[in-house]
Amino acid sequence: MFFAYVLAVLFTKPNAYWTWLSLAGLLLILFTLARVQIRWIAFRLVPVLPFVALGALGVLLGGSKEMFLQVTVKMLLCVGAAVWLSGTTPFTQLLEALRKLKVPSLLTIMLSFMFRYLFVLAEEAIRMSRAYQSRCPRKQTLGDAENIGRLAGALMLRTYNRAERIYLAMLSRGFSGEFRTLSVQRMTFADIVFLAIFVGLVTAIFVVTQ
Amino acid sequence: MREAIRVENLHYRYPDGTYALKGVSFCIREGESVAIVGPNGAGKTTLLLHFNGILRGSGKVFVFGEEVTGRNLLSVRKLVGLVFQDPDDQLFMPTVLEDVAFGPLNLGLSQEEAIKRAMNALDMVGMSYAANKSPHQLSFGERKRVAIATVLAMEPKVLVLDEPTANLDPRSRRQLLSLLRQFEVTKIVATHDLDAALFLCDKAILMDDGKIVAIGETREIFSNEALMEVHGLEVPLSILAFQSRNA
Repeated sequence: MFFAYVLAVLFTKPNAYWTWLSLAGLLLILFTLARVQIRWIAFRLVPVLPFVALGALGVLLGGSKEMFLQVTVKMLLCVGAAVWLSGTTPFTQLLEALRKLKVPSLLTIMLSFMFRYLFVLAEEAIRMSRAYQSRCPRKQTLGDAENIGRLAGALMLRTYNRAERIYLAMLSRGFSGEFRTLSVQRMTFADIVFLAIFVGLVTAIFVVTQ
Repeated sequence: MREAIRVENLHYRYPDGTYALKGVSFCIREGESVAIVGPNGAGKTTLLLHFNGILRGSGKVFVFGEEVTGRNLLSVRKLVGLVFQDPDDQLFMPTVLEDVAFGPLNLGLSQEEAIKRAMNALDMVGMSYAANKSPHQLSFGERKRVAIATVLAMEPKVLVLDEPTANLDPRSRRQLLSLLRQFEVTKIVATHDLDAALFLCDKAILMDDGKIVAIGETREIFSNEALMEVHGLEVPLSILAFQSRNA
């Protein structure tokens, strides 16, 4: 669904105001269906906006106003769809869906490890930075960048060691090179109907307004 | 009783040149519960990693009579389950259920069978409520119990634990210890928690500097003040309290 939407957005012609408007409306309906709060959407959207702005600015400097408008709107719609996806689907289900869509297993395994260890890594980094600050009770200057660099190096070494231990733990549980995972979810009839309606709508909007 | 694990003259040198094991020999029988104690750097963890062929030193390791070689690693790992010290190393899948099912799936079980085993193992450690959670949402004590479940799900004949009680609060420690004591499989526990060793294990192996210093009944070794102190340990408080009451 997400992919259909993003594809549709990307392939709209420049100046296709009506298409954009109806696609935005569709997104709004999706958000309403998912019953998420505006505040929550805004909270998720805000960290991404600077990137959108930066991209748009680049286009503004190098191109015409129309291009600027086009890029901004498309980006916003895509980001909105991404926020909707991440807000309604737990990451673990997303991973499984990717596996079902025959995304190479190397990629999904890497994503799953990233998701699992992002938090562990962040905590480790926070602990190290606390230890550093406790032993460095003065204002930080530019010269301290060297120390920060060393800290990052140490974190990298720790991560490397952890990766080694994780691999040993995997071996201990009979891992022999092939990654086997559970698949719990099935496509239900309701899922298929919903997908069909959605793809139908997007196609309809596309055909009618272009 | 059958021999569960026999180690003969085991030496191991780490790639950086440190000698971690310098000729270790012993035998653990089926159904026994054995503590491996000793100061930091005595070689306890290194020894544990030999039990399922993760490390392979010179010397021989037999698991239920079969020598561990490069060819039978999978069948050895099916028999000997290793629980690592840091549950964050042990739990690497996005959800608890997927993680516990990882081992059974590697054993070649079907999806349904793997899920059944996983839920069973989670039940045994009292963690079935967390099946669909992500490990980072759990407390350290909960993660520790899930880590044990990941190994139980493979139904090993020997359960090997590295520092099972480290960093646990008293209640989680107590819960974990009573849980472990219920399991009837052969248990090998490396730990600094001497009271836990007393509680869980009838037999103890005292190691220092890559060698075995003493093997025997846990209480007898732990009560030997001179021996314990030479090797960086001490007579556990529970034994001291008992002695002073009877003095």
